Amino acid sequence: MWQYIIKRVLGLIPLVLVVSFVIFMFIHLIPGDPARLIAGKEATYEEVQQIRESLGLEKPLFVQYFDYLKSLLSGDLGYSIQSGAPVSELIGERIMPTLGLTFLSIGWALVVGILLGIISAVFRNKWPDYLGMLTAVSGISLPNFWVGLVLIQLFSVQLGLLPTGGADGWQSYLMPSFALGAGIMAMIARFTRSSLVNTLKQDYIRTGRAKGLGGNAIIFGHALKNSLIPVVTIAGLQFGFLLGGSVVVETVFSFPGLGRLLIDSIQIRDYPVVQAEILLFSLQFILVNLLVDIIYSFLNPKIRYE
Amino acid sequence: MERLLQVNNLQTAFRNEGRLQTVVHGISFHVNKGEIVGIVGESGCGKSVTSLSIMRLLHDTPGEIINGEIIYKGENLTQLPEKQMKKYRGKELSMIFQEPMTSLNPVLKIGKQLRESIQLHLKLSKQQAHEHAINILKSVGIPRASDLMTEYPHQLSGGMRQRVMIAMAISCEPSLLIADEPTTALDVTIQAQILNLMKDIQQKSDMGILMITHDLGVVAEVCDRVIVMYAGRVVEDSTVEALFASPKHPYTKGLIDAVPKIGSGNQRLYSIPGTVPNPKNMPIGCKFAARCNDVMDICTREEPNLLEEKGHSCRCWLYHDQQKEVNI
Repeated sequence: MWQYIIKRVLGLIPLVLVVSFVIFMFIHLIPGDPARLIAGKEATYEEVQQIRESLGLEKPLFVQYFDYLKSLLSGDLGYSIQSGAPVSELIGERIMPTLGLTFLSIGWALVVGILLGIISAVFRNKWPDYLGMLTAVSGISLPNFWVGLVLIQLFSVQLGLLPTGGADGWQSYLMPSFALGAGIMAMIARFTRSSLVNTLKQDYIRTGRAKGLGGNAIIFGHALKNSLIPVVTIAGLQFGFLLGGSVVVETVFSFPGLGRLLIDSIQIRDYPVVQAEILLFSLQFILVNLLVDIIYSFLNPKIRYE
Repeated sequence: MERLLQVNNLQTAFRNEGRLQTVVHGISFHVNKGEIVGIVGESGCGKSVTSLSIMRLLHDTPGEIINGEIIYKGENLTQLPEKQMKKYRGKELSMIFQEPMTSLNPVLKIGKQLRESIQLHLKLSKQQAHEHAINILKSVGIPRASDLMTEYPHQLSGGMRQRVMIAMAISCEPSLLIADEPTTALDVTIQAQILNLMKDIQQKSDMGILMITHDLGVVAEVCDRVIVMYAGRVVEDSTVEALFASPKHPYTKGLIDAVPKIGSGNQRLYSIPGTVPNPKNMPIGCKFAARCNDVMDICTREEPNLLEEKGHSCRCWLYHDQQKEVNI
């Protein structure tokens, strides 16, 4: 197992280098002179020259890339054009709320989704199944901003129980995580159901029954582990997306997350911030993928030995 | 001889688009203690469904027993509540399946899969169950039994997996073992080993074995008695010696002729003409009439009964005037 994990982690190094190179090139791919763009239209030639020097733009490309890598390793992500604050600080402020929201959303979506999927699969084509899948279809069909607005109307405006927005205290996480998790829960429920229905038809399930095992031992001891691979795939993808922050839900709840930081930075062309966020999202996705692969190998021993 | 299993007039049907479609049409047979009984027939003749009916494992298919009795040690299994039936499965009656490649759970270690039923039925602790499992594995001829406990099914060969399946099935010392084509998916040399192993186990433990197979070679090798099934019906029931020495039913004769024989030169291998009738469109009269070489007028009009003569029963009009009807 450990051998497999170490192998996978080492395999990521080239990928991270390629990704970081592409993101580094981002600033060079902007049409026109990056230094001029950063300095703005009214800047004098001297100012532009100064920016060019401070960014090291006159050096050869590969030297610039190594400088970039070096500063990344020391945690230096550059400075925001807008506020002049270090980018690491800007992201640092936003990353904890986003992480909190992500874990809460994916957490409840996984628990409820898998449970709902199991119930639907066990009682397939009976009323618990129809009820479960109706819930799932609603979760997928209702847009999350609409769910968010309805929640605000109900719990904040009418009942006055929860704050309308912000990220102060756990109460302000409840509604956004519900709005974000609903669709994911629905997807997980559907994937769990179909995968489990398929697993329950397998020969080894019949072997289990022939041994005298009861329903719970069959579902939880034999079938579930075999059914979770597609569920982990979809949950991993959604987890990756959530880590990048959700623009729509963050806007509805005026939530200080990474999604809004990204949109705001793009609108005012705050390139260093955008660049750092893209790098962060890419690394997050790579890590999530690694996590998913490790879970795969835990679920299916065959993957470990290949 | 002590009667272990008595099946009376068993009828099993599948629900197909809301309609019940009978696939096993009132079959009757028995298995005595310490006896190996074979059920032979082509694919689709209902032999596997019969075995699943006895285990009451039909709900996944989704089939149901619509009539008849399955009496095991005096208890009618068809009337048993599911909770009670669970205690029988794996403990009193256990089963080996055709596909060793897919019949073991790919994500669980062999040890866990073996321990499961031992802990459940024999109420042993995990440690005791582990030791019991190793002993059982050794008894089915697996040399490195304790290593195997921590391995996964994909690390084993087909023959090894079938040995593990057998070990699993006999781990709680059942009185009746149902083997549904246990050697079909295996190489010929491994087939012989597995058959010998099953015969060994049977002799040591005196359990009854119901051997479901399409292979007359297997029947000749291990069985004491044999039941020939065709289109969900028993067409012949006799001892193995009598069946091979003087087969009665034209279908049985055809099956025996279809076995390749050493020294038959480069003659074309005999095969029974035609195919098994579709359950949706069963002919009236004898179900084998359309493929039979000895077909008579009456065969297409009326179905013959199963008639017995000196312990050898047959369902064919050819023998009707010579025999008395059996009441089973």
